[in-house]
Amino acid sequence: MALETEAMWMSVLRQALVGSAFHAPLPRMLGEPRLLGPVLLLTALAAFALWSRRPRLATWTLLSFCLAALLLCGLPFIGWCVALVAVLPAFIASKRETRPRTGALMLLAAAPSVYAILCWLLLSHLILDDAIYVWRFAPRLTFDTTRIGRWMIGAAIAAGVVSAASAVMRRRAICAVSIGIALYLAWTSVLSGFGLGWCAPWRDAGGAARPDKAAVAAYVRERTPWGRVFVCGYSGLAAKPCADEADEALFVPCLDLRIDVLREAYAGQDLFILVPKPEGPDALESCVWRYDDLYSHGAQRLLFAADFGDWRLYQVISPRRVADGGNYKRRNAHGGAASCRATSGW
Amino acid sequence: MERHDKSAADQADPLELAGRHPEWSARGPLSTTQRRIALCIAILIACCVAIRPMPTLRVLVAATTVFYLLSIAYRLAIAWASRKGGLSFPKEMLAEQRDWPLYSILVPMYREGATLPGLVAAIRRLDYPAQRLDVQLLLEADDDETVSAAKAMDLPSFVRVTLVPPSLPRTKPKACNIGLAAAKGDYLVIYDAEDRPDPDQLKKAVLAFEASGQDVACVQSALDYHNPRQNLLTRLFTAEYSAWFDLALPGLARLGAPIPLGGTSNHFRIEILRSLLGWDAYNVTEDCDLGVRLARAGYRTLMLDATTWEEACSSLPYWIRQRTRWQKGYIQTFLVHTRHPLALVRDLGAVNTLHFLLLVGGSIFSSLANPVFWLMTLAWFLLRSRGIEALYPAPVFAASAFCLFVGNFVFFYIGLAGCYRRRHDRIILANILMPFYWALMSVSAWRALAQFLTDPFRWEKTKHGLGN
Repeated sequence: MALETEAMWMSVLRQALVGSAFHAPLPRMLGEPRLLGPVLLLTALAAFALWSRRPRLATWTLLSFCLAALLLCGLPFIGWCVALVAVLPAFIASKRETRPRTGALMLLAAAPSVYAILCWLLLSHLILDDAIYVWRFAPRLTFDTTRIGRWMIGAAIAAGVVSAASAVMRRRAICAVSIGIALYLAWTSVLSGFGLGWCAPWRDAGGAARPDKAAVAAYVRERTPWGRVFVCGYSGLAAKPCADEADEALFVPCLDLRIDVLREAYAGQDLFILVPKPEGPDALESCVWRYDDLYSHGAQRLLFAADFGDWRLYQVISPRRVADGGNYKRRNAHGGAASCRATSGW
Repeated sequence: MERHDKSAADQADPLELAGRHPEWSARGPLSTTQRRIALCIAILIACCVAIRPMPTLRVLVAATTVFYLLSIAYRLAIAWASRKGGLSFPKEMLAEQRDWPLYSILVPMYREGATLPGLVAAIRRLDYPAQRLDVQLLLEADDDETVSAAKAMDLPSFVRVTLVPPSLPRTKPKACNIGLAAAKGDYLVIYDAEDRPDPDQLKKAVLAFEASGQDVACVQSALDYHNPRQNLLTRLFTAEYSAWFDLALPGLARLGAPIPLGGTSNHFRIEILRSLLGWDAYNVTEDCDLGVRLARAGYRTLMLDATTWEEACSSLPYWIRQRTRWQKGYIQTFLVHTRHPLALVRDLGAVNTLHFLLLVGGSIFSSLANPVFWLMTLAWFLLRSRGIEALYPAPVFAASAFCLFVGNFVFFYIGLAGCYRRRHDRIILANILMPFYWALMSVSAWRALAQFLTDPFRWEKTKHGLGN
């Protein structure tokens, strides 16, 4: 079967387009790639197909940069990227290039991806003081066959059979389409097996709604004039700002959940932690996954306060100290919140 | 030695350009206006730093960051534009029996007697009718070593020796001007003594000239090194050359931009070259200057799909000297052509002026500025200094981070792509060490700046044959 026929690749691309549309709202580095991820994936596959027909440096470069960008688009796309990179050596080998030439092609293809990973590690180190922060959840991913939908396995097998049959019958278009479906289903099965089924098409992948910060602010203000709410995770960064500036000043984005450090830095203030429910795309925001050492950094002081939709508020319980937060309290005695940086020097 | 062309040497005025059009020549390194402007800028910056140091430094950092962003976009655009490569011709056209025009070849030599046999062999290998060749070896009259070697050799009939009378400035373009005056051909090309051109290069150049309009004054062949794997320096040098001749110059040619010509293997229509009074004898990168002058005169330069093989400098001290000369020449060229900025814009147009500024001025400026920013970045990583952070307001910080993380990688990747296109697959991995090479370029740039201020016409000759 001529794998490099243009019709086949175009069919695969169409399948990938449909499949990728479901891989939308996930934790990722490149902002809001609801469209970007699938577009990158499609472009990578198109470049792949074009290069197979006519090896040109420009298409190879396009492919390599798409792979790197896919890496930054979050977990399901990382899988596609890894799959494509894994196929590359065999793909290049089909062109019967010399060994040095093959090495050069691999270097050109892999360099942007490797560099993207290195940058990601460095930025994680600089911002979060933990280079492998993002990958900490990986060991917790255990494959569980019971999570895979039976119909999905059946569909994947059926698609495989159809593709094999059509290959024998030399019906390339049907073969290409069915290979695309089979690959997609297989990939989704793998994700489901690892408990990442929220990226599957039949699940609501909408993720936690934005926190209702006004309601949270009202709740906190009712209890203390010196409150401070730390909004955890990447989802928290997307929270809509409060209309009231004083309310907004209560909230501090937090990607590094160290309660003891927060208590020290915001001494004398009443601290709250707002976290999303670890479901759907926000599964990766799970504090228990993310922070192995949660309790050794003061999480034992967290006390459930209230639920706000998909978000949950905890209060940090601390004993009072006499000298705590003198400046802050004096400044806010007449109401209004001041910048935490001004008082804490954090 | 019976074929000396003394009359040409006697009659030619190698300094004609500087005499008739001093504003086109680097004889006066800085014009009075340029001196005044440079002084005013220096005083202004010094005063601003003294009165309001932090805002001034922030502005300087922001301006440099904008420049870096432009450079990154520019290099990407050029590399992307290079997809089609240079002019090529089918073998049938090259094999055609026809009346080929007379072709002049100039080979300026100085203390390179040992390279003479190889040079003659390379010229003999050229696939061009011998009777249509007019080869001049341009030897300094007081260079006994090379003159003796030429005397001792049995030179082919189409090779003659032209002696260059000893005078200042002692530069390659001065010798070339004398050779130009004595040249008999319709077209002319310059080769260095250690060059090994592709045999069909002259025919390809003729076909390129014939296929293009009369506005094409020059056709540049790609240069490549025959000793890339000699040591790490030659690997990096070759990678740089591949990116320059296989990505940058074809891209510039495609965009119709002024092209800083390579030192050798540039083919000219001889009449046009004479009308421009040849090379500037005072410019130590006369090729770059001539490329800009051609563009200002309304002529185009094309890239040819042919290669000349040279020897990469394998010794770091000699490499530094060679690069210092190139960078100094770029400074000279930049200052010569910005003496009358309005005239420059009028001659080149706004877009090509931008090309010139980014390409010639930009390469010098980035080489000079890079160490400052590298040291600042290193200092921040080591010390986490608040003072350094204060220099980068949020938008500037974002742009600078982009330049650091994306920009440097873009330049690195262009190096990879150049090696791939040139099929230097065995040295492609050396690109990983390219940042060290950039550091060496910065050392040369600062050395060039110092030399430009103290000894602007000094020609630091590259030593060849180090690998043999």
